[in-house]
Amino acid sequence: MLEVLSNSDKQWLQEINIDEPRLKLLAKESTWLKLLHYRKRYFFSRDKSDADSASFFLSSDGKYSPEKELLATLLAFNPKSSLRVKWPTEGLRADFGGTESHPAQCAFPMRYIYFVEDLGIPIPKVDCPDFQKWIKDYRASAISLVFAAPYFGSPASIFGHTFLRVHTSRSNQEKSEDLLSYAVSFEAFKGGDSSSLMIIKGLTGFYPGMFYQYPYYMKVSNYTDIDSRDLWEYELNLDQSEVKRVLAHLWEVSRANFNYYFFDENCSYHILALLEAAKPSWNLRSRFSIDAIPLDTLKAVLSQENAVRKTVVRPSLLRILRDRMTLLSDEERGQFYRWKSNPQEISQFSPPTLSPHLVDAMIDWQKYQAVSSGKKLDEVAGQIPVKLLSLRAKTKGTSADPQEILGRSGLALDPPESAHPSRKFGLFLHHTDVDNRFIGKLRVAVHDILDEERGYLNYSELTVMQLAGSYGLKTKKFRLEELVPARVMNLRPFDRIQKGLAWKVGGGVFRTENFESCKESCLIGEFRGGGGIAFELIPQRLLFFSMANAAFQATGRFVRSVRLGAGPEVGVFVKPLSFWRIFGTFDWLQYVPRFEASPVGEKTLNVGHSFQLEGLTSGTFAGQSEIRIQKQWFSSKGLVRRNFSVGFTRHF
Amino acid sequence: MRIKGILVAVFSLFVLSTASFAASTGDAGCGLGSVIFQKNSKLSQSLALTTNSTFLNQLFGITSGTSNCAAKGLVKNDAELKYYAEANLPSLKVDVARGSGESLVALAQIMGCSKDRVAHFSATAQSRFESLFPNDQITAADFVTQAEHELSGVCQSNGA
Repeated sequence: MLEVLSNSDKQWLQEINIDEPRLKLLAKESTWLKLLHYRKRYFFSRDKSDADSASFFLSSDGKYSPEKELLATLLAFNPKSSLRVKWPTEGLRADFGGTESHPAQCAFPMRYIYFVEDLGIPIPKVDCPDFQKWIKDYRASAISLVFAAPYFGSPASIFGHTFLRVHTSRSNQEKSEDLLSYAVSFEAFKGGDSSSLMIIKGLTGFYPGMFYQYPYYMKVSNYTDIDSRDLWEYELNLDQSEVKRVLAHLWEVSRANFNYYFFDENCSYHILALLEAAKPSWNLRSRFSIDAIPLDTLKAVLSQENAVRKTVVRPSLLRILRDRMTLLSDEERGQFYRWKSNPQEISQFSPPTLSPHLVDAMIDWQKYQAVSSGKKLDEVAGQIPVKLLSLRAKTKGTSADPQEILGRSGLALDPPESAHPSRKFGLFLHHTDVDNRFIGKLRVAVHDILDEERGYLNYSELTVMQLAGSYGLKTKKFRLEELVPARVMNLRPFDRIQKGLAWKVGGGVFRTENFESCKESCLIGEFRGGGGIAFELIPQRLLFFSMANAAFQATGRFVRSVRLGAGPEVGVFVKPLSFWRIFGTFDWLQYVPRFEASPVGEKTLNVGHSFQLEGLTSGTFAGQSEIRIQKQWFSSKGLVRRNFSVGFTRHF
Repeated sequence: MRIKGILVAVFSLFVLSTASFAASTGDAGCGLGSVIFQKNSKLSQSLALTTNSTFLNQLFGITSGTSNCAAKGLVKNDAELKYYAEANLPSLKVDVARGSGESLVALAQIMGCSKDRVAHFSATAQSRFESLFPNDQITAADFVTQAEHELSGVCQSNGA
């Protein structure tokens, strides 16, 4: 392919010792492919770059051919080349750049570093005043990988989020306060679309994603205040030249969009590109060809040798409030709850008689209310009354430092990386009234209430893609037992600080014997949701809940076999020992419409046990058993069906 | 499809930037004040799947854009106090009342205090809470004016 080049181009390639064989070899180098965001594809698609902007490539075929892109880049990097590159002036990335045009080396400084420093290709340097000024203004000294804890309030946040924090210095060389450093995050721009459109587009790659930069205080107030999520910062072991590489690659990717796909090409996946540019020996993205769960990408980074220098956790606003509450006496706590219901009583108190901790707790509560109020930024501060704050300003005593009281509330504070692996499979022996079966179950993500809860939200379930198949010992046939695309449950304990709803929602296809028309068994599609209340009687160990559920069921075979059911549910979670968990539920569904031969209602008792057997191998084994007793009754006679299963599960 | 997406985006960007300028009076602020501080869990956004924050999405064009206050993702030096106050007023109000807190320490740094002057700055700010926040209608711009008036010289006084 080099024969068609001009003489000057051929001469340039000779000067830098690049011939066709070397070009072909270098085009396959993993670091080159990583810088191009190239990815191996499976299923109906050829290998290509994740970048979806022409501005990311110097060759018109750059997205599909790393070789052509390599050649185009090498030629463009010739200091004698007249090629000038501009920032995109239209579309979404026009926000970042200006109207400057520069030599190719200045648009792709990380590629330049790679060629010259990593590969030793002797390309003379060209002056890049804009890039140099930007790096200089950044005054970057270190980089942390930040993990925002999962948040069940929004599907987008349910797996958590990762981004980078660039530590900076001030112009006088003093280290910047953390809040004044910068966050670098990959996010999707969804314009003014409605909520329903967002789901479809987010899943199918219709939103352009890009690398944003924010002053860190924006991210802190967004996550710890508004969302009330903990932030975990992992300061990475990168030296100055590696920090520069991250910024050089950030400069490159800031000219491009990358279509956002919620499951695989999401925030946590793309941020790894910046770290791989810094550390060519780190293979991060290649592990995430199917899906990229933020927690897993975090673990991938932490598993690199000597990756982390220091870990810091920034507590959420509600966690700080709960920790502060432990500093109050019983009387002060009573006072807090009285104020909480009657904020106007503030005027009755005067400073000398008050403890600063009490006023601080009230302030945290008011701040939480203010940031949750959905008002414009301009108006939020006004929601925290000066009356209350003046009182504090006149009260003697120092406020407790959130870091010093961290953990006092007893609320679990396990580091995210201690969480069990995302996937799970299980093998069970299942006994029914009709047959005995072997069941194999596989779950792609992530957690259920019988799993070890360290690093996850207590009393929660987040199931994505669970599949179960079975083999009947009597019938000698395989069949599908269940297929659950998604199911979420959050049995948040009710307390006076956060009066929350316990809820669950989800659906899938299940094997059942409870449609009269089923001979032995049939598959029904079910979508179920419920809401109610949960009370934690012994912290981490005993929880009761009660809910009202509605379920919609249908079998494919008979179009008119569709029914709607509703009814109450009660349940208990108990952990008698650290490795033994029990979850029992009893629910009752009444169905409409009432067909003559169909059940009018159904009562189900379900009790599951898990025994965690850690330490046997690097994964987590659990002995898991489940007893399920189901009763259904018809208008004329009752019919009881019983199932029992026992088996092993393992996370991997 | 893509063109439509780009058009929607560019239109939104246009609307956002004009809206932010329309909201300010006199000395144009950084336009952050008109952004809605919105929790993820609001029912209307409950099905948002694509980003982790609808709040931050509205900042597009203001944070990384070539606006008054930021260029290439970095806040411009002369806009630093304005930008910070607009984004942090709730935390600042609280920290000044307490005489401590990260937001107040960051303010001290922005206003030129070296580390050893921060405690003095914080205590002074607390003692001047009522001048800095006389009422609940104080805007970020008001606060910046007051802060410059009340706190500018504090870092330098008593030498160092």
